[in-house]
Amino acid sequence: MTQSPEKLKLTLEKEKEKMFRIAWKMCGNQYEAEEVLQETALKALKNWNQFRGDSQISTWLYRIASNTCLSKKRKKSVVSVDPFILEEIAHETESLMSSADADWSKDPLTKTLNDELRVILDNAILKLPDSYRLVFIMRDIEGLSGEDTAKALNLSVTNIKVRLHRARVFLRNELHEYIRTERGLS
Amino acid sequence: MKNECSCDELLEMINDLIDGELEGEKLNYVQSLIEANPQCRAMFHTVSKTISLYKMRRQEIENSIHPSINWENLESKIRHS
Repeated sequence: MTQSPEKLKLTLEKEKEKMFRIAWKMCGNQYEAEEVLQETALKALKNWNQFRGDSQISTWLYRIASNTCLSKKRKKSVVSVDPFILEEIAHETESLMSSADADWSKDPLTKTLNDELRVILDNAILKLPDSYRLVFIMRDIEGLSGEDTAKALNLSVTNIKVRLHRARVFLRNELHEYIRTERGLS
Repeated sequence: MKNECSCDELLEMINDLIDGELEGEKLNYVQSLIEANPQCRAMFHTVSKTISLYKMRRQEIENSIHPSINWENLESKIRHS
């Protein structure tokens, strides 16, 4: 059953800010995020007659947006950490957990965002392999459910959970290193 | 619950706690572990803090940038494709 393109346009308008932010975090800059948003809308309009309604329109749009981001990133051949490092993250984290300064959650450096911390956060997320980064952005930053994220990325819910947990710990460790360096402890 | 957990299991439980996915005996176990063990507590607090910092960053973008879809341009592209 073909649905009205007006419904698609309304969903695009409703979801545009979220798609834009996902694209920004994926591409690392505002300019490319704007391109991704326009390309996503164009692809959705062109392929609207192929939408079968087996997921929500928004989930279908997130899938198009994430594929557009991945395709842009492939062209740039940006280097992320090896996914193997993330599989071993628990072992790497063990030693960090035992250090005396392990709890920096109340450190004044993390109380508010400043330019330096923004750069640390933005660079750390770009180090994640694409699929881990997308999972973290969709689940933790944008608040999508595990099911919607799984459908958008064509992964199982279990797989989403594993990647999310590893991504969180990786980012936590990157911040840990930053705090240690700032405190002159490394 | 068993007394000793591997680091893998521990991190999984801490993440599940953050996601609110634990209940019953397992929830009590992880909560008591966090209370008793400074390393577990540190991990729980710092992973939670990491997520909240990224949410703050998202809020900044949300407050400052309002992207728009250029419908006129898109419809023109579709007409000429």
